[in-house]
Amino acid sequence: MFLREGSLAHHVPVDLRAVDQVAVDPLLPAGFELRAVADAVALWDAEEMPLARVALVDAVGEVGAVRAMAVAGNYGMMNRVLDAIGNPIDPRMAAMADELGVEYSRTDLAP
Amino acid sequence: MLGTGNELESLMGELAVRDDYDVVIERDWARMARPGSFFSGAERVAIAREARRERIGDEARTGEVAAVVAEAARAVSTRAQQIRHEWVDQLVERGLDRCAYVEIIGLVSRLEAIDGFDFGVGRPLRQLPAAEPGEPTGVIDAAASANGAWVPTVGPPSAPVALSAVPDDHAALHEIHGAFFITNEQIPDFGLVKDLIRPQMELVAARTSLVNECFY
Repeated sequence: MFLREGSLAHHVPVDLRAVDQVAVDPLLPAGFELRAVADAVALWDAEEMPLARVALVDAVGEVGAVRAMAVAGNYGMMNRVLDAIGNPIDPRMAAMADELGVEYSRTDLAP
Repeated sequence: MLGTGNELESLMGELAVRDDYDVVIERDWARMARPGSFFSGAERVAIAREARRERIGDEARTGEVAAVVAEAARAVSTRAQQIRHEWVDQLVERGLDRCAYVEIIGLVSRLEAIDGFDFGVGRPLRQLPAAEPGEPTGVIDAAASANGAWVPTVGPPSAPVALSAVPDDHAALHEIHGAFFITNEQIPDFGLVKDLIRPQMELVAARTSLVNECFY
């Protein structure tokens, strides 16, 4: 949702399917490169990381690349926090989870 | 165009990181070394060590914290998406205070942020800090209560109050979030530019969450 809102605010296109379909062009500037570093950080992929980093620096510059690494790190943190505390799941998000094939417990749905 | 020769070799190495990131990271490292609400500095550093070992598949326990604490740290580190409320209840039955579990979540998740950042920018993982002496403070927010999550929160559970039962961890989470991503005040600003444009940051956020199987 925030991705769509951001693209509208900046008047840049985005294809939301690119979040979970690597064959889909995100359309955003540097979208392929940003998605690749997100994968490399989240998966601790030491082989892919140097190549993904170089490509991203080439696409957005060093300052932007550092920000991307920080955002990836931040979400590694937030994902763990929200999963570990059992943040109740908004039923609207549950539909999205079903579509993406993400496992969750129905008992964890918010009323 | 991608660089060649020395330029490419340079890019393959460590990126230049502004001081504002490092100030926050070093503050969190110092925070880790100090006593928290439930754990001593030595135990907090040991919790981080357990989390790092789990990440690389090292099953050898440090022996520096109780088994239930080590188990919680390791689960949050690598399989938070598999945690269920029954499992948290079992931790509590085995003697782990729910707010102590919150402190573990805070420590391990911030470690993930900082280690992930260092890995991304091409730095080696930093050495864990030397623990400071002292006893746990026992400080919790008396306003925290059962609100539908598996841990007490101040108000209905959501990302901004996820760790609110333990004030130091609540504040630390927000400090990292603001420095690495955006502050709470910046959340509604979809036109934000912070080294990247907001949708570029959100693409990284969404993809990371997908890979981590987290859809909150």
